[in-house]
Amino acid sequence: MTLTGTLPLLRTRRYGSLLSVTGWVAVTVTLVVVLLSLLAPVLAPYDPDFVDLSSVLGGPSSAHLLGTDALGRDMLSRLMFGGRTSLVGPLIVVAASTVLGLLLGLAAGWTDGWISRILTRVFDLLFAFPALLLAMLAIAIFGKGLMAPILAMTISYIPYVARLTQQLVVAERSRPYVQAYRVLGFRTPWVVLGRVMPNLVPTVGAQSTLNFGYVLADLAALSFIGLGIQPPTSDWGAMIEEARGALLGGHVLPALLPALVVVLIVVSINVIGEELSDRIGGKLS
Amino acid sequence: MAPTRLSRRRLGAVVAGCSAIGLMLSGCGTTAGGTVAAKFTLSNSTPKPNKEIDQFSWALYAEPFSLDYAYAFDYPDNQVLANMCESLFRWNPDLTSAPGLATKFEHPDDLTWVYTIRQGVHFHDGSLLTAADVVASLKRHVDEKVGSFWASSFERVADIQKTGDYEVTITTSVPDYALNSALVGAPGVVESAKTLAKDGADYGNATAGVNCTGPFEFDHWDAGEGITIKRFDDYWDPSLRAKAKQMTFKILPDANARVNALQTGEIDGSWQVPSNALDILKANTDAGNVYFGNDTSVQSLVTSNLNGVFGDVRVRKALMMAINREALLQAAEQGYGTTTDALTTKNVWVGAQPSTVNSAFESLDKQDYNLDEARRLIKEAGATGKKFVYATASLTAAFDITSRAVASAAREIGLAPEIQTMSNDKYTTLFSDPEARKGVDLFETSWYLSSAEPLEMYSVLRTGDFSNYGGWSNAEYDQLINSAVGTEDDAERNRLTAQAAKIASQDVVWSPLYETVTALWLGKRITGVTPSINYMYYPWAATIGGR
Amino acid sequence: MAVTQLAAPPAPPTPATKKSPTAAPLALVLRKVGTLLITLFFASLIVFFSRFVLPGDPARFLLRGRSPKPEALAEITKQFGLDKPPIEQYFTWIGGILHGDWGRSLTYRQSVSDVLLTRLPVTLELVALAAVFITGLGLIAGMLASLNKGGWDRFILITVTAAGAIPPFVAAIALTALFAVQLGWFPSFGSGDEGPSRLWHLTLPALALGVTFIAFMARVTRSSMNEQLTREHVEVATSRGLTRSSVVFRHVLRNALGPILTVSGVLIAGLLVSSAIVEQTFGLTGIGQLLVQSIDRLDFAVVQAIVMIIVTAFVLANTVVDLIQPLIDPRIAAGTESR
Repeated sequence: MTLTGTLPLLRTRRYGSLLSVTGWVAVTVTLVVVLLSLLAPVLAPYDPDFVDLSSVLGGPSSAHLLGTDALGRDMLSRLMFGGRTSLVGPLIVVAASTVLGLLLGLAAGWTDGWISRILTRVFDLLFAFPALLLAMLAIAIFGKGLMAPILAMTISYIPYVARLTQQLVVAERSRPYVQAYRVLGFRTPWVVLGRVMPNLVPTVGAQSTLNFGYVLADLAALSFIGLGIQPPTSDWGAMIEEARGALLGGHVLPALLPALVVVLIVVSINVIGEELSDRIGGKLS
Repeated sequence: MAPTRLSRRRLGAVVAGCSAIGLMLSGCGTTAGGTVAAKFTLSNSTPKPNKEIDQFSWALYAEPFSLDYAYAFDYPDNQVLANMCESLFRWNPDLTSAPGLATKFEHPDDLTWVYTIRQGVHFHDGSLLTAADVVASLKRHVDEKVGSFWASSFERVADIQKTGDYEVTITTSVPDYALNSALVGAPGVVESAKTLAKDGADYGNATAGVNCTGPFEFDHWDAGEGITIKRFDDYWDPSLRAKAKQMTFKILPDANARVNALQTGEIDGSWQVPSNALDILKANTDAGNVYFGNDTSVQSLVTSNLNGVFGDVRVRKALMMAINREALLQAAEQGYGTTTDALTTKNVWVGAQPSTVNSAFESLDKQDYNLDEARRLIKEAGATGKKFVYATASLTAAFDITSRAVASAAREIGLAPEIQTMSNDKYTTLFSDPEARKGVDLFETSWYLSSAEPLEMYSVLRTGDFSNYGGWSNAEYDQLINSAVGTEDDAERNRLTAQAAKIASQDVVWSPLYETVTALWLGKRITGVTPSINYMYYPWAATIGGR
Repeated sequence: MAVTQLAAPPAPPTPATKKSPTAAPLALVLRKVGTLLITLFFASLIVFFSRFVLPGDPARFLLRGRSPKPEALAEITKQFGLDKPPIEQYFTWIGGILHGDWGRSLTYRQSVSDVLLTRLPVTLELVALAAVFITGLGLIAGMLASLNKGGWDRFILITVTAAGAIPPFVAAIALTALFAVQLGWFPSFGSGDEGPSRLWHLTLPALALGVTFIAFMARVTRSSMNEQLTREHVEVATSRGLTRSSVVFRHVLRNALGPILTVSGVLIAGLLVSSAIVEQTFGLTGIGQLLVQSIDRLDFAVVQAIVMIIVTAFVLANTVVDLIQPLIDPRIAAGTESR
């Protein structure tokens, strides 16, 4: 049948490559950082917690490529291991909020009755809580660490994904191809999950990529003020906080390096997210 | 500096006078085992001020919990309170004591202490001080409803009575030569009985303030911002009349912000200068000067669980041997301190014979840095791979560094440490709440003495003592300490204490790391105060004037 | 705070959301206010009952980290009314709030409202100043980028993206080190006395606080203006000979203001949360720092109160923006939520 022919699966502008040069640079940077973090147990030259009081606050050297901190711990190793904790948190938040947000948004956008109305109201309610605030409230209850803020931030990002999804779904519902499927008797779940969903994922995904950077910065901030990851676990935010003592004495590297990495990653991810958003047509009719 | 809260007990008799210089120099340079040239020299004075000033500001690293002397139990609280409220005796910069609100005391028998109260002293509200106020103030420490943090000083007190308009008698249940020296600090503070009754539970908080007898009076406390005190013109002692009309304590928990403020001159002075910044501040002579003085603090590791892996003395010894204390001192305090094997500083052993001081320090059991020996001991004790919990808090950079260093050292010799970082407030409860100590094997403390009496430290390790956190028990030790407490003769008492100290070091009850030094910053506007730990109880701010 | 918070997509105009036809303004205002109150009500439920999330004795929870002596337990029970049923506790709490009684702080041993009110002015001023910087600098950067395609656009975009990724705490440290300690142009800490001194003291903190959002504002401005520039009415205006600047200001900017305004409103409320970090670094006694401190010191009464305040500000800002939108752009049909 003609309707099963070419369906507009991706509304991409197929001119040239997916990303600009800057975009690919950003992808490379991100991949490098992620790989180094993932492979830290194998690649890192030192144990990140190994205290060597005889080489405190050393600059870059052949033994320590990026120097050492106030406890003689190797900066490179700490940065690599730090990535594991610093990247995992935002990953969980973004993944979970995207999945849950998609599902809830679908439910809200596809149905017409009280389900949709209640969901919309719930989203409205959650919008009232800035993510960082909800994270702090969760920490006040559950205690410091990563679990509480991750949980709270997932919850507070769900409405953004859900609302966007809802909007998209509503627009898609009225499109001819969907009507056609329904007329032809295809079952709703199949239509929704098999046909509509794939059209949404790129747009929603691009938006979620942007969220990654913001969550990372927020979690780093929480660790910095002592409410998130507790030192001595290496985490970029916590590392910056620990390095402030060294700053007093004029030693800049231990604080500068993790800060640079955070900025670098957030910029890269933002660039990727924005380019994807632009390409995959975030505008709706 | 590594300030922290801790529970202290005051023991020891009133200190006889002694050479100030002798005391000064004894706290510097030489150490048991260390021959590192000192990065600092102690001063026993700063240039005298040549004029009065209108006001100056002082940095506090944390906000006082309360100005109520019963709860004033920490560096910020005490350094503020000392300028407003006075005690029965005064603690001088050289750690001797002098009459304060009590002009003299008599000791007719073993259990009785009679204090003559100074006449003509006014409270800040103008009323006259009498024995009734003294009794009311002291009695709060034994009142359960008040829950004074200094209650342990009054453990052996049977009664406190007004025995004359200007006379107070304290009766103890057993001979206690400790109580008297305690009266130099918070346990001996006198507040107006009327004020105590009127303010009730609000006494000492940000709105009520205090109404004491010191050279400064409470003006206002902007919660979270700072505390302002102004000169009290009717102060009873003209030699300590304040040289500034007003001073403000500015609360700045952030160490960087504090150091910046000192350098730009936005804040005039500070105790507890972060050691990270000392090199830079010393060099910045345009902005001000750094001075070093007497300190009675020893940074130690407290073994709070003798039922776990640290139950075996070999493990305790091994951990000490695994720590390179010289390197730790460099990393944690940038070398501003001295490594030590003793739980007290030399400057508190006043009234001891040189041979006693020797035995109290030189002949202690030393655990020198020796990784191989440490590993051997761990294996021998069968402790390889065993876990323990080390509690710490980010009180200062030194605390952070020490905890990491100790954990790393423990790992190197085969133990499995787990660092538990607590909030500052929660960490403080370790020192007063056995519940809080559950599950904690080791924690760090900066234990400072509030009198020149080594018994103040060593009596803490008697069986069942409030601050005997690990529950260590040694009958010979107890016997030595208890006799010492009941010994009137200074030399003999110190001799007994030294013997007890040796036992404590043999058993590595607590593990001494290093002594710190009092660091003082005076911005270019001000001068006059003597750098000494006595700032906790002596109205130091009154000595500050302009340059 | 997450900048995406500001870009919350609008609720779709579906059959699901009852869209009232261009209703009378009064009805609209009432509806908005009604929504506001309902949201606040549910938010207060969340804030209040969050304490009961953890299993166990609520008195122990409130006294965490403190010695649970019997007297302390009794006092806590009395103060929080813990012996009463939760619903009643809630109404006591709400009733208290409406009367200005927010409870008692365990750390400060004072009433929470006292503790809060002394700190609120500093935070409000900090946030206001930051908002000025954000809207000012962000608008200018965004406009410049949008109007000068090519070199300038790229440059501004990159700078702004990089600046936007600098976490406020990093910015705070860097700004202090450079402008306060090195150059001595600004004070390094504290909030100064009321008046010009306050402004001078809050400049660096406001900049540190706003740096992330300046980037976002610039981008929103740029994309919004870009979108407008392609619209027909602009082409028409240009073709009719209007000067570029007049086109920009009267046609483009005015229409672009919609999304910009949306963002600004919510921005201010969101800044309240991020201020916690900046306040800590600059030694400002504001409610942000108080929030962090109270979490650290387990002073739950204060945490509850501050969260409620910030949520209220957030929701209020949203509502105000929703109400103003139609004034800026009458084409926005009343009843459609537009953030």
